[in-house]
Amino acid sequence: MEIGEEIEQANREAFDIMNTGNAVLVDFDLAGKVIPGMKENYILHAGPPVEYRNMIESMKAAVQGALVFDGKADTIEQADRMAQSGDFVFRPCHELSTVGPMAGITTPGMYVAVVENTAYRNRTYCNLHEGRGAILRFGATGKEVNDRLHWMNDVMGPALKESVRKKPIDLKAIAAEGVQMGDELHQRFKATSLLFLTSIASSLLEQEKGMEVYRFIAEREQFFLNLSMPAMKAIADAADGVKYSTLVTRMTRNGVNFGIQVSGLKGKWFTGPAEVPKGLYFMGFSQNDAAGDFGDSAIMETGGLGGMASAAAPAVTRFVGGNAKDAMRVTEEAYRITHGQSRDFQIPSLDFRGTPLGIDMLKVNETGILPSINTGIAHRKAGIGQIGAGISHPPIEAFNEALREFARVYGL
Amino acid sequence: MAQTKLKVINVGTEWFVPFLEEQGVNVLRVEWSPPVERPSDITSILRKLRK
Repeated sequence: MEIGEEIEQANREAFDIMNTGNAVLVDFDLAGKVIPGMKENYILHAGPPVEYRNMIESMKAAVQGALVFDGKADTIEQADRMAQSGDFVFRPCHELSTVGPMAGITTPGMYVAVVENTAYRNRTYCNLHEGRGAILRFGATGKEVNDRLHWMNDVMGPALKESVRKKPIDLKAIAAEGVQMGDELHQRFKATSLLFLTSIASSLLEQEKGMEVYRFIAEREQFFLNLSMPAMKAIADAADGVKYSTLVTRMTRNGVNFGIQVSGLKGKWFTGPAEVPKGLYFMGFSQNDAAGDFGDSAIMETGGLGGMASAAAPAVTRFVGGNAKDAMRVTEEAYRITHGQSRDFQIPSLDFRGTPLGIDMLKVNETGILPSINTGIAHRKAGIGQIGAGISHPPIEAFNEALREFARVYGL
Repeated sequence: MAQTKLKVINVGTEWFVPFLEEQGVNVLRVEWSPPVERPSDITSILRKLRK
């Protein structure tokens, strides 16, 4: 068979896996207990590999806060020394079937959501959603942050575990419904967070501390982010490792680099510099204050949501400085670099056409069109948090490097 | 002004199209974008794949 036919056949296979995969929320438990391969001295982070000394300030601070939370350090200063000591191993979340928004720091003592792609029998994991403001994922530390994380571990995690044990929740169905209700699921989760809350309400409210947990979720409109991310990862991971396939299965950033992985080149990172996102800044902030793009949340675009689904959520485009036509254009352009359309994520304003799904590295190389990623913008200083929202793109260098490796591996 | 009805062929970016269409002008769209600049080895790999 000619190489072109091999690629076409492989891409059809990988795309079908992505399109028919599902994502069911099946459990909540401690990362050290449920994530396969997780070790006591591991610290998982967002993005492609990065050593502690090279991390951006917000990610370093999140590592320090996590070590205090885990009881491994008494103070932030001690945590910083410990992180530099070489006693801890820093691994990308993605390499342990995990994802984490922004800094993505996940330690063995943290509660995580467990999601299963029941069609292909693979599981993925994600830490729990803290909300906005002073939060660990933006590098905030201190008593308020630490106390909240402990409450999430001691009260919310076990309560959610009890709820989903009784009734697993179909996350892909919630995401699909949300797309028809104006969510694109990277910036906007107003519909999906409510749909999730509704689906879990009765089993939560039966519990002694159920109302406390219910209120916490109800007050956080992006709560579904930390559930939809492992959902999209469960779907994308199943399509990984299809020989000859040029479909992208991972896109993620650590503030320094943006990394991608390609199905037919399983496990290999291809990176380039992470952009500073362009968009609208909250009052008093500008692009000069912004950190490089970071977080595993570009898994949403990998799964056909976020920027790919812009046409479903014109409200988001307005929020980042555009209009409804811009939203349509972003999605229309995305169809030019994807293998096909999602069966389940349908856009009402496009006559229920499926969102662009299965980013094809070759189409990106051919057209020069880069996937558009809807993202929060973080302050470059730790702990200040979100200062705006906008759009970022992966670097073309990552796609070029991936193509060079593809040519080497498959003898082109 | 033109005595006959205006017909427009739009090549590439469609920035002006909505304004013309609002005035009842028929616009034929031609999809076009400037050639993509890429490293020569990437062009060479893509050429091999197109064969």
